[in-house]
Amino acid sequence: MRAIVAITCALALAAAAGAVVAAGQQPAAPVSGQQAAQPPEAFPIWPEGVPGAIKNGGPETLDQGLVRNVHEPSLTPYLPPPGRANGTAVIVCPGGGYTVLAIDKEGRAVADWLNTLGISAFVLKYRLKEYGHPAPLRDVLRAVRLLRSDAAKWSIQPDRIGVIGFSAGGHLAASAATMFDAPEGRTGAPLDRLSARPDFAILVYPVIVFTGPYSHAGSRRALIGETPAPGLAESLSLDMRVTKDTPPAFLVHGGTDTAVPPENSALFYLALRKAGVPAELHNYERGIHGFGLQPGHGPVSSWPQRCADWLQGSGLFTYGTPRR
Amino acid sequence: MRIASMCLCFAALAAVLHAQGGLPGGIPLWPEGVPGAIAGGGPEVVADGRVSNVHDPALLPFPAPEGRRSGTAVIVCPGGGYNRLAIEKEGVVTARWLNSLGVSAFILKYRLKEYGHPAPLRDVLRAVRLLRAEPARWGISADRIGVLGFSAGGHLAASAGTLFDDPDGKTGAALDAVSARPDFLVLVYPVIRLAGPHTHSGSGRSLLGANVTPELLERYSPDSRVTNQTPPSFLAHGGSDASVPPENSALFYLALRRAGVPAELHLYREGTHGIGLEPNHGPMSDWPGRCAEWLRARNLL
Repeated sequence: MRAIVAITCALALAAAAGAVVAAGQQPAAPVSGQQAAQPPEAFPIWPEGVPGAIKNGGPETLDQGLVRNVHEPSLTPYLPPPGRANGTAVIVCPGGGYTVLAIDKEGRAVADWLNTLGISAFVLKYRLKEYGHPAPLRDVLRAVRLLRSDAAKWSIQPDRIGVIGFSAGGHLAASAATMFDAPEGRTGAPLDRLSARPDFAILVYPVIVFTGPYSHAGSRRALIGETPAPGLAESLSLDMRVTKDTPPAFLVHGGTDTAVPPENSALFYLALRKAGVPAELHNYERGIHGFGLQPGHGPVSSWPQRCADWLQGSGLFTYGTPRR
Repeated sequence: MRIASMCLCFAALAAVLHAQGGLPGGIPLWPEGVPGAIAGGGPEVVADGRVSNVHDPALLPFPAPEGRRSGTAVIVCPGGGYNRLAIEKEGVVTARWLNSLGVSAFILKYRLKEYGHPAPLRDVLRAVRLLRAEPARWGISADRIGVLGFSAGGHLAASAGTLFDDPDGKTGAALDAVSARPDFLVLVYPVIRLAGPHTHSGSGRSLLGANVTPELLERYSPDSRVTNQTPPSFLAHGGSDASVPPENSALFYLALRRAGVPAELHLYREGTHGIGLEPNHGPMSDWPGRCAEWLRARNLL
């Protein structure tokens, strides 16, 4: 049986050799398929009603790739071409300072890249400054629970559900990784009994700290206001929340990031190390805030290759993804 | 002519290293006499690609191939806990790789525990001064001299990057007038902390002695000596390094950032101590690729 699987895998590898991502190269462009012809459809993450919904909050807007005024948090599935899925799923948290969502360059583009790795991607539209804490946390934790609950439906493994986040979305992803069991993440729904712990976290120029010289004031203001309750800013400085149960993490940051200094990533890395959690960090000398997956930013633009290497080393992806 | 003959001489170094006996002498760092030389220290020992009991510090030149010289030079400091030098795995192999990038390499054979501080520091700073004093002789640019070090050699490289102006590094020689500041640093699983947690106690003992004070250990932990004059640095470290934890690199990086010095840090999930340039250690085996990208982005290639 084992031998047959091995042979099948070997054949699949050989067949997929043309699509194998060679080390040092960017992954191939996504295979155009149904998803290109027909945009994927978002589904609401709170079908029973959004907890703490604001009435008459006005319409959500989308302008130049930026979503604003989110009142109906949702997941948009981007699935690899049939036969290419490897069972790993990633919830994508775009950045935008908890004020907007860069849903195109830190959402769709990320999902397309993950699909080239055989990873199923779900772009999270989470609530923003109109709600503040804990609405975004609730949204991301509900997203993990929902996917874990419907793993069979999406053909994903319930123990291979990760989060990726950029900037403030990195704060949200790191919040999921450290506060998955926090009471404020629960709403009394039956789904609360499912674990909301992500199995891994990928943090790209993340906001981590809300206090001290490396804090991103804008994200903090949008999430907890100008005059937060005593201790709240500290409690959302996520390096302080790391435990041995925090999932393995991959971090990348640019040294010319003047919005969110790369110390944010370094401090989270040190906290993970202290807790004995496997971690990887790539802080490039250059790299401004918001490089996303764009080429042309110098060495940092090859971070998706570092991330794919890490995913492979973590058993979440294999170069030349075998067909299942 | 001289370079060519040296080139021939050191091409055979790897083979020589396997044989018993002494290394080729290279360029003596202290033609005027080694400062603080120990008389009757016994012979240098070369075994299994490692050198110990160094009394005649030297530079072993590996010039970049003619026609594709970038003018960049790198002084390579092999590791070995200030007890010995992994001169093949972290020296010769590194030099060959640098040559493939058009970079001239100079392996530093520095003094070790037989001397302790400040002898290794003096050796590395003299090496920078020696190259900078005669760039034309070596076909290099005087403002493109870097120092690369592994493990304890990383400690020495980081010491050069932070203590280049230290009185300890001067001997009263005429060459003291030449700047010993490296133009860049490459630190691979470096020992940075000699005090507190994350320490590599063996290196601290060999460098500073067994009865050293915590204050002195802190003083020779290079992250505590970073200033805005410390050169731009590239760091790589593996997460499964049980002997020198990657916090050493992270803390040096944070110190560089605080001082406003450009820095790049690659901390891999896996990667044990002493992998050098070996393949098959997972993603960390790609660190030379990251380093080449960094050098290129800094216009050093």
